[in-house]
Amino acid sequence: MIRTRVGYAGGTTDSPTYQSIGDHAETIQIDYDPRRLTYAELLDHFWHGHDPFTPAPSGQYRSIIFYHTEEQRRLAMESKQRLEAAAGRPVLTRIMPFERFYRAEPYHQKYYVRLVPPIEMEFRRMYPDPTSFTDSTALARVNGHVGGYGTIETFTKEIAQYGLSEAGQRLLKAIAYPPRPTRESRSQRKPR
Amino acid sequence: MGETLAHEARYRPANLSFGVDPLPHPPMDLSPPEEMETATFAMG
Repeated sequence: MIRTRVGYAGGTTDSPTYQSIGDHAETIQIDYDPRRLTYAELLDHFWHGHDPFTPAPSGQYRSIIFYHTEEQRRLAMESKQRLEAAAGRPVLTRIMPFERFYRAEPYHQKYYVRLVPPIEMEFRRMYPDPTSFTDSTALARVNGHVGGYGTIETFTKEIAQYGLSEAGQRLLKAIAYPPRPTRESRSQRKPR
Repeated sequence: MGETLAHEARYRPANLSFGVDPLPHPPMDLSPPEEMETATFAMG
């Protein structure tokens, strides 16, 4: 994964916003290196990341795959058919050609990092411009770690590449990968 | 004087605060891969 951004797509109204989303759906867009991450793997995350069998409460939350190429369309169709066959019930996800993506407001981007102001502020000083802030690969990685979607192996391998100060690195590690309590520390706890 | 300050306010980059230098970009962001594709999903 190289970059991620959230926004709105799939509708017809111009310039949607969170307060005026029109007929668009809340959407995530991912730029990725196909030599390291395949579209099939992304589809796997897509199917496991939400419930495609239950009708969405509103169009804002409907399930859609927007394909950018014929190959993406084919893979999406095949994976949907496999899921339907395995589940024995229809998948409600629509598969439609990508047309246009509208970025969501800056305050919606990189949600987890915004919960840790010291780290957010370090990235704001690296990227004062909101678009560059959103499009930082390092920030996308840090956002994933804070959100609990990373691994300690990736963290250890890449931490020096994120551009954080030593204090920022320590804080990130403490939040994302806190030390597990040992048997000794558990036994030292006072009973309530 | 007032005109100078107004000029500075107008032309000073909005992304910089007085006395705070921007940090360098993360090493990870300095060498993007040559090949890149885009995927777009709506998932509730």
